[in-house]
Amino acid sequence: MTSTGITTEGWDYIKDVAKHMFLPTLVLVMLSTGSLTRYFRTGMLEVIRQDYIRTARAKGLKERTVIFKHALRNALLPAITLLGFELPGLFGGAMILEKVFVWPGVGQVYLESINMRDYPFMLGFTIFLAVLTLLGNLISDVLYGVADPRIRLK
Amino acid sequence: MAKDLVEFKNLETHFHTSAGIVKAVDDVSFTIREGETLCVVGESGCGKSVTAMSLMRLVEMPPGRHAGGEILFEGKDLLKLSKREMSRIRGNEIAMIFQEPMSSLNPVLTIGEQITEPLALHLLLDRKAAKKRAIELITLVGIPRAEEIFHSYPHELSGGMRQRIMIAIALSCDPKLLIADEPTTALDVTIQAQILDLMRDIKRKLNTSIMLITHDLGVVAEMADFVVVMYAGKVIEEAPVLEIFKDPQHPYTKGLLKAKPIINEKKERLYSIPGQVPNPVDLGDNCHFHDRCEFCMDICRTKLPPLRVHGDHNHKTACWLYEEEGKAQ
Repeated sequence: MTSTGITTEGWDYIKDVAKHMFLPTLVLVMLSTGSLTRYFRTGMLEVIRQDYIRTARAKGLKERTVIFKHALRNALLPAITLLGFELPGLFGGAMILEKVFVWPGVGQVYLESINMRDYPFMLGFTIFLAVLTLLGNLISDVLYGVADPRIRLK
Repeated sequence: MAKDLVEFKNLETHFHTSAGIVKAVDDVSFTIREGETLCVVGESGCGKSVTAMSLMRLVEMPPGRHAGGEILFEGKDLLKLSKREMSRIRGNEIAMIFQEPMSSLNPVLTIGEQITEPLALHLLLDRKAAKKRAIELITLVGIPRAEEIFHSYPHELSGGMRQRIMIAIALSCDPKLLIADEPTTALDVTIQAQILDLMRDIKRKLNTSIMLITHDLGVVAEMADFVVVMYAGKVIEEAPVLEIFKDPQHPYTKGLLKAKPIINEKKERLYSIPGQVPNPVDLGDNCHFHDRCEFCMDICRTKLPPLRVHGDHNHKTACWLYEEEGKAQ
């Protein structure tokens, strides 16, 4: 974002943007981290009780390997669906955030278009979100296949 | 006589639950000798598995806790080893096969990956050598097309094959002791026989000691050299396999043997031991079998019988019937 009258270039410019980006990014990240963490937590607790984790321990593997190699991949499976929904959520959730932080992004423009009765833009943005939702679901479906060999198509 | 490999000395493993302390393993002592197959029998919840898990130090803590005793493995007390030393023994010198082959393998990793893991960890083999050894192991446990199986996932194999893979993993580092926790319970009888044959073959070839946990007396008769009978967290009788079948001493062991169907014998109903396993939370200072025992005496209700030699020198029984105090009544 360029503040009016700003003339910095190069490294100074990057630093300026980073400074203004810090709070909005933090809010956006925390928004999704909260819910995802809870899902990962329950998923992990569920997986850690499974028999194959006991097998992994019985092989003498280090606790780190047991958790990150054997448990994590299984715990990720249910969370993949949620990751797919994060994609449109980033834009939808950013609308209010952009308004609050006066960040001239696509969400801000969308809100303005409602005020200005700019129907073509409103429709266009809605379709854009719809496409993102579909894309997110498609990506999570593909990721499912990557992570879980049981549902992989031969 | 072969050397002692593992010695349980007054092992006590307790679980702290909201209902009270469950003494899952209460003052258990027995030894496993080199090259011997020891069977631990008893009904569900009598502490067989927890004894094995304590040996592997795989009991969840909390709620589990080793309240006392020691487990000597080649002279070292396993319960006192650090986590690092313990993980060097696990899978390397002591390996374990679990009851449920369907869920004991990680569904998202290939068979090959899961077999090579302990090879790389304990024997420090590189990828190529580990793969070669893994394929040898898969062939050893009697699965054809080893190369193909190496690259497949657990869900593509049947229960019997998965149990064979588990055995292959357990054998990968030539363990001195193989713990098999009801390895055939979840399999049908034909596969059961094959798995038992396989274990016997392996024992003969590699001279591994086996600690076999089971509640199937047929399996015991077929596999065991020595039998330990457990009830409510305690060892109530231990003897060589022939002794147990020929001359069972404890009323519980007698009951178990009577409850076994005999081929070519006509019977309306099979015998069953009356009553239920006692609630493990409030076991008193008595013989835990007293309320189901047909020979129950006053002393059985008030005092715990000691595990002592009666008759043959390595046949021990914990029952008042064979003690002076019991005979007096």
